[in-house]
Amino acid sequence: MKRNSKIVTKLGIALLVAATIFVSCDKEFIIKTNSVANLIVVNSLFTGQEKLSVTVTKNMHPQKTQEVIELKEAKVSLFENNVFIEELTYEKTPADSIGKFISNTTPVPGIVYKIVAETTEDDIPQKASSQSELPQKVEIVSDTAIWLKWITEEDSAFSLRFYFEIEFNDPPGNNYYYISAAAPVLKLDTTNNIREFYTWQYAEILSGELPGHQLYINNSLLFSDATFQSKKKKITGTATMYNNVDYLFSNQDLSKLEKGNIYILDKSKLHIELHSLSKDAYNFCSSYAKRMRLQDDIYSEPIIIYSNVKNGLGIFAGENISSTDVPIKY
Amino acid sequence: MRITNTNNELARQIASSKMSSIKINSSEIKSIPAAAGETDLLKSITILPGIKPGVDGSSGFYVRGGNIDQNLILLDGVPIYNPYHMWGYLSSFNADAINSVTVTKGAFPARYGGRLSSVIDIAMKEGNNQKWTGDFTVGLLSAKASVSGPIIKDKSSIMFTARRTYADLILVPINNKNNSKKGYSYKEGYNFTDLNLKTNYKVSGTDRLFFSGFLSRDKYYYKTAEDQEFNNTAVLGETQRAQGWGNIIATLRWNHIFKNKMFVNTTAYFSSYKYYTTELTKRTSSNPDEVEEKENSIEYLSNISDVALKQDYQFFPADNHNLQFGASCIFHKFKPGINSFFSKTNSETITNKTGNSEIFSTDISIYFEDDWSISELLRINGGIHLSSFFVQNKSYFSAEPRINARLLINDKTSIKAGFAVMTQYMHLLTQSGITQSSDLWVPVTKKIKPQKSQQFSLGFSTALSKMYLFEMEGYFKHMNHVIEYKDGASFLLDATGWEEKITAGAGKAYGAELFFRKTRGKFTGFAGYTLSWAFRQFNEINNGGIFPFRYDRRHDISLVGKYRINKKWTISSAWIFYTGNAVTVPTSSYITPIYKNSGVQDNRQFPSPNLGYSTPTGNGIVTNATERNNYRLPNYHRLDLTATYRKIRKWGEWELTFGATNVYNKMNPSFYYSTDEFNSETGELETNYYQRTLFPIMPTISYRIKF
Repeated sequence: MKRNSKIVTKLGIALLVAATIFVSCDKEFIIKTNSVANLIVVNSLFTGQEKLSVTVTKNMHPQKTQEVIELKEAKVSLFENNVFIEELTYEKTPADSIGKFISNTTPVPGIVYKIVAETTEDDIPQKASSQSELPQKVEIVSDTAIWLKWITEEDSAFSLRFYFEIEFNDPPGNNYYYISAAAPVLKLDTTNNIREFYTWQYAEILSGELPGHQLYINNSLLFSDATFQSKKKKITGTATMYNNVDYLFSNQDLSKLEKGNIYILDKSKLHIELHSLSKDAYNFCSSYAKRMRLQDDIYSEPIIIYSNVKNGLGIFAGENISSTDVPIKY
Repeated sequence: MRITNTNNELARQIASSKMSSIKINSSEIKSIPAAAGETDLLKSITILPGIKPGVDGSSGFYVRGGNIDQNLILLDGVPIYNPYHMWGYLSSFNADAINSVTVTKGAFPARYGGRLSSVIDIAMKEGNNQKWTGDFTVGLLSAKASVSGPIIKDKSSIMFTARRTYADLILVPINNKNNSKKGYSYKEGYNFTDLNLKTNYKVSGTDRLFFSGFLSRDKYYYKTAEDQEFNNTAVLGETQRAQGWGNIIATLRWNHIFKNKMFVNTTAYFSSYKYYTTELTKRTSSNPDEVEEKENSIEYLSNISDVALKQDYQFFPADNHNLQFGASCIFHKFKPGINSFFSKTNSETITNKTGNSEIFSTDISIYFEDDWSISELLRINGGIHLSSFFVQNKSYFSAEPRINARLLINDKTSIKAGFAVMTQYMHLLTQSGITQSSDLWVPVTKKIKPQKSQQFSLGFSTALSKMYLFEMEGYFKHMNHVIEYKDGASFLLDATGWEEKITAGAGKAYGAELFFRKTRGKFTGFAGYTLSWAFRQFNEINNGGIFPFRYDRRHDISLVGKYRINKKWTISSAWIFYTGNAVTVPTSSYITPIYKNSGVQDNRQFPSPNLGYSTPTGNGIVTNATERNNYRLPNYHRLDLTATYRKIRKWGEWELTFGATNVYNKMNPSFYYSTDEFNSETGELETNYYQRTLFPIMPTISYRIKF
C-alpha cells in the first residue's frame, strides 16, 4: 500500500509538471507551400465603351507580402465565338503599377469573347482561359435628382445628400445590375493643380422589392432582377457623400482652395450610372462585396471570391454601362 | 444450423438481423479514459467506427458523413436536443445514470424515424428494488452522486443522480475578491448541474408504471456595480450579463402485458431545450432634486419544446415472428431566436421584440416491422415507417421502407445487408459545423423541405473464437435537401431571417468500417478502422461545385484497451487517429480588377477605394481559397491513459483513477485564426495564421466511493 501511494504521488506530480510546461497552445500555422499552386491570374471587366484589355499576373503565397508579378511575356489571344481575332499587346504607362494587354476590339453584345493567356514559365500551368459576353445595355428612361440637405456630424465633418430616381426597362431573362451615383468635385492636388473629377457616392436604395440582402461594392449597389423580371423598374434612393467635403460657392476664388480638400460645385449635377452586368461579373462583384463586408466577422461562413478562369484565377466578364447626368433640383 | 458459441453476446451479434449497430454498457463507457476524469457518453461513442468526433472541445459527432443534426438522441425513448454542458465541451449525460447505449448507424429498424444518420438510444438505469446502494465521485470538473433503492421492496424502486461543477464554488469568490475594489464590485462565474430521476411501480402482474425525469442547466453570469460621481451627484452604474441553457424532460410510461404474447408501452412525455442571453445596464442617480433612473436590457431567447404521446406494441404470433408496431404524435413549438429590447427611464418605457417568429408543428408517424426467421439460415427484419409533418398550413408525407437480412454461413459467421430510407423534418443551424449551445433547431417550412436519405449497407460478422468478434461493413448513403449556411452567412452582421441564410443541397458518403472486439479475459478492448469519403453539393455554395464535407476523414483508427493487472489495479488506454478536417483556407493571393493599378482614382468603374464608407473595398488584392474545404488540417492523434486503484472495504469500495489525456502532447489544432501584424523588417502589414490547441497534455484524476 505504501509503495502504491508513492507511485500515485510521483505520477501525479509528474503529470502536473508536464501540464504546466505545455501551457502555450497557440502556434503559427504555415500554409503548406505544396498546397499553393502557381497559377495565371487573368482580370478584365470589359465594357462596350472601351477596347477590351486584360491584366495577366501570377498568384502569390497568401502569407507572404510580395510585389505583384506580371507575366509580361505572356501570349494573350482574343477569340470571338471561338474564332481567333487577334493577339493582345502589352502596354504600361509610367503612372501604372502594372501594365495591360490591350486589344483593338471594342466588345459588342451577342458575341462570346474568349481570352487565352499562355506563358512559357516552368513553374506555372502554361495556359489559362476564360470567356464571357457583354450584356445588352439597359438605358435609363427617366431620372430625377434633388438636393436634400447638409448633414452636420458631431465631429464637424460634413455630409451631402441627394435624392434620386431612375427608371429603366428590364430586358427578358435574368439580369444583374450595379448602380452608381457621382457628383463632380474639385480638388487641389499636391502639384497645386485644380483637378475636376467625379467622386462617387454611397447610393442607398430606398425603394424595396430588391431580392436578398443589399450588397454594396465601392459605394454602389448590386442587385438582380429576380423580383421584377421583364418589367419597367423605378429605383429611388439617396446618394450621400461623407466627410472631407466642402462646399464651393460660384464666386469663390479657386486659387485659395485648401490643398487636399475636396469641394463640391455649386448648382451641380448628379451623374448616375446603371451597369448591366453579366452573370460572371455579378458573381464576382457580390462575392467580393460580401468578403469586404464580413472580413472582420469571425462568425461568418467563408466566402470564396468568384473566378471564371479555367486553369487559373481572376475574372473575365462583361458589363455594359448607361449613364445620365441629372441636374440637381434645390 | 444452431449457433453453438458459448459467448452469448457474440452469438447474439452474429445471429441478429440487426446490423450497423453497437451496444455498449455503462462499465465499458466508464473504462474508456476520459478528459479531466469526466466520463462522457457522447465522447465515448465517437471512438466507434463510422462515428467521427467534431473538433476538440465539442461533444458533437458525425455519423457516416451525416450532419450533426442527423443524430437522434433518445433518453429512455424521448428525443433530447443539444444535450451539452460547458458550451459543448461535455455532454449532459451523467454516466452513473446510464445503463447502456445502443448506437445504430444504418439499416434502421422501422420503429425509428426522424433523423437521417444515427439513433443513439440511451437506457437509464432502473432503481435497485432489493437494497439501497450509492455512489459518490469527485473529478477535476465536477462532483456527482447517485442513490438507488426500493421504495416498496419488489414493488417500487427509485434511482436518483445529481452532478454539479464545484470549481466555481472555490475559484469564483477568490477571483471576485481580486477584481473588486472600493466602490466597484465584480462577480463572474459559471456552473452546470444535471439531475436524473427514475422510478417504477408494479401495479399488478401485468402492469407497471415508470416515471423518469432529466434536468440539465448551465449558467454563466457577470455582474459589476460601480459608484460614480457626476456634477456632485452620486450615480450607481450596474451591468449584468447572463447566458444559460438547459433541458427538461419528463416521461410517464405504462407497460402492459397481454397474455404473455404481446405487450404495449404507452408513453407521454415533455421535452424542452432553452437557450438565452441577457444584458442589463442600469444607472441610478441619488440626487433628491433630480432623481434619474435609466435601465436598458436586451434578451435573446431560443427554445424548442415537444409534447408527445406514443404507443409501441410488441407481439410474438409465432416462434419465428417478432412483430413491432406503433404510432406517435408529437407537437413541436419552435422559438428560433427572438430578441427583446427593453428601455426604461423616469419618463418613458420602450419595449420591442424582433427576430424569428414562433413556429408550431405536428409530427405524426406510424410504423410496422417484423423480425422473421424464414429458416435457420435466413432471417429478415422488414418494415415501413410512415410519417407526416404539418407546419405553416403545409403538409409533408413520407413512406420509408426498411429491410435488413442476415444469412448464416456457419455457426460463427453471418453476412448481413440492409437498406433504409429516412426522412428528417428538423434542422439544426450550426455555424461552421461546430456544436454550440446557441445552435438553433428549426422545422421544415413552406420553403425549406425535409431532408431525405437512402442508405445501403453490406457486411459480415464472425466470431474468431469464444472471445473475439470481427465485423466488417461497407455503406453508401445519399442525402437530399441537406441544409447549409450560404457563403458569408453570419449571425453577427446579417439581420435577415434564418430561411434567407441557408441553402439546400445534396450529400453523399461511402466507406468501409472494420471492428475487432475482445470481450473476455484480463485484457478487453476493441480496434476500429474506418475508410470513408463524404461530399456536399449546393447550387449556391462553391459555385455549385461538389466539395468535401468538413468532417470528410479518409482514415479513422481507434484502439481501446483495458488490462486488469490484479484485483486492485486496472489500466485503460485509448489511441485515436484520424485524417485532419477539411477547412477553407486561403491558398492564394492575387489581384482583382479592383486593384488600384495607377495609384490614382479610376473615374470609370470601382473608382474610389478610399472613400468607401459602408463597404471597404480594400486594395483589390484578395487572399482566396480555390474552393470550399480546400485544405486539410494536420492529422489528429492522441493517446489517453488511466490507471485505477480499487480497494474493497466492509462498507463498500473506493477507487482512485488518475492518468492523462494526450499523453505525448500532440498539438492537435482545434481551429485556426488569422491576424494582421506589422512586419518591422519589411514595413508591411502581413496576415499571419495561427492554430489553437485546446487540449495539450492534461492530467486527470477522480475519486469514487461506492456502497
